[in-house]
Amino acid sequence: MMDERELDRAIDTAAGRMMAQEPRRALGYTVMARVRQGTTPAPRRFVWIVATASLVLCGVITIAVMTRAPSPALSLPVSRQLAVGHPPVAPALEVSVVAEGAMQPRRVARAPIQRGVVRPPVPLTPADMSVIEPIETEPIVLSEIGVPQLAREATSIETLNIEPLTIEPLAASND
Amino acid sequence: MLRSKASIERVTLRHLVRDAQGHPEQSRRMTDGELVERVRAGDTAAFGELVERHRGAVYRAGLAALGNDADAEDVAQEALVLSFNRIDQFRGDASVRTWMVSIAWRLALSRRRRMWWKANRTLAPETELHSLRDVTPSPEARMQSAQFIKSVQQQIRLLPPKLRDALLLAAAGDLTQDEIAAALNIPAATFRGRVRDARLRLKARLGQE
Repeated sequence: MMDERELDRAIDTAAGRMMAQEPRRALGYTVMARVRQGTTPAPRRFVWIVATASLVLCGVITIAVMTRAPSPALSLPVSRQLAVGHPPVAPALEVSVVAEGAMQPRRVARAPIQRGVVRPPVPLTPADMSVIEPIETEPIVLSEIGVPQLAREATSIETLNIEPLTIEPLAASND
Repeated sequence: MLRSKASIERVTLRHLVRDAQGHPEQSRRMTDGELVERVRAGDTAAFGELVERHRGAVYRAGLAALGNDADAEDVAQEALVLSFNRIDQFRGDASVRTWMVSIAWRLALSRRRRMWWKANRTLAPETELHSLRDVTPSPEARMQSAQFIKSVQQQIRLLPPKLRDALLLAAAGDLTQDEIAAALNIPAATFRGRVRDARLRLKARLGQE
């Protein structure tokens, strides 16, 4: 059985031998060669390249999405307030210019959306314009409504005979 | 491009301190701090002197964590190149050796984690660090207790990593215990406690044999 001091010495010896190694001389040369070349190891350089490329790609996609042309807005017809009690007045000749195809119902495209394709607004040519002729409406004529007189019938209510109430005397006991 | 051994020695000689007339003072070498200042000023060769001085300590830190020669050298190389690239971040709070060892230690721990994951996927856990190279013992030790020392080394390999790291780094003798604690970024008392705990466990196991 070994005593504590011998065990301590054995542990020191064993651990010391495990660490009693020197690096190869080439380590210093390799380090200095890399330092002089100013290069980073290939795998790390590759990682940086991939990271940079993906950042640039993300930026391009973001810019493309943000600057995408807005979808053509459909202008709704302005509602007109009708004058009640007056015959409608035919509106003045109004020429509205509507781009052909602007009111076409939009189809849901099943093909994949091509992002990044920005179409500039197409300038309208006179050929694209059409004149909408006003719709002629007939004035509404108000006529009196005749209500027929209903015949009156006299009804008689028969008189009711109510017998007088008789009050019975209370019992002598409270039972 | 690799430089020859002779050119490295010339680099070492060039960085002897020169006096006012430009003659080298053979009595005093440049300190690590002076070399660091030269490296910061763009003198790459001054870093060669730092590498020569501290590559052993950096390598042994990797060896303590990884347990094999090839990985330790890889980590040492990475750590030395990284310390050159980050020389501006050296503040002088600790010695240059401690700073370099701390860089190597972080790299080694990262590599050990990756090795552990790989080993767990392919090998049994107890095979971890069994590849520690056995050093040929000195003749007197071989005569006395070569077999026993081997069994102690085997028990050291089976210690929990934190205790084994502390014991081996202390045994390397490159840094003081306080410097090792600083390199490992742990309190000095914690480091001493780990070394003590490692010894107690080893004694308990060896006493049973």
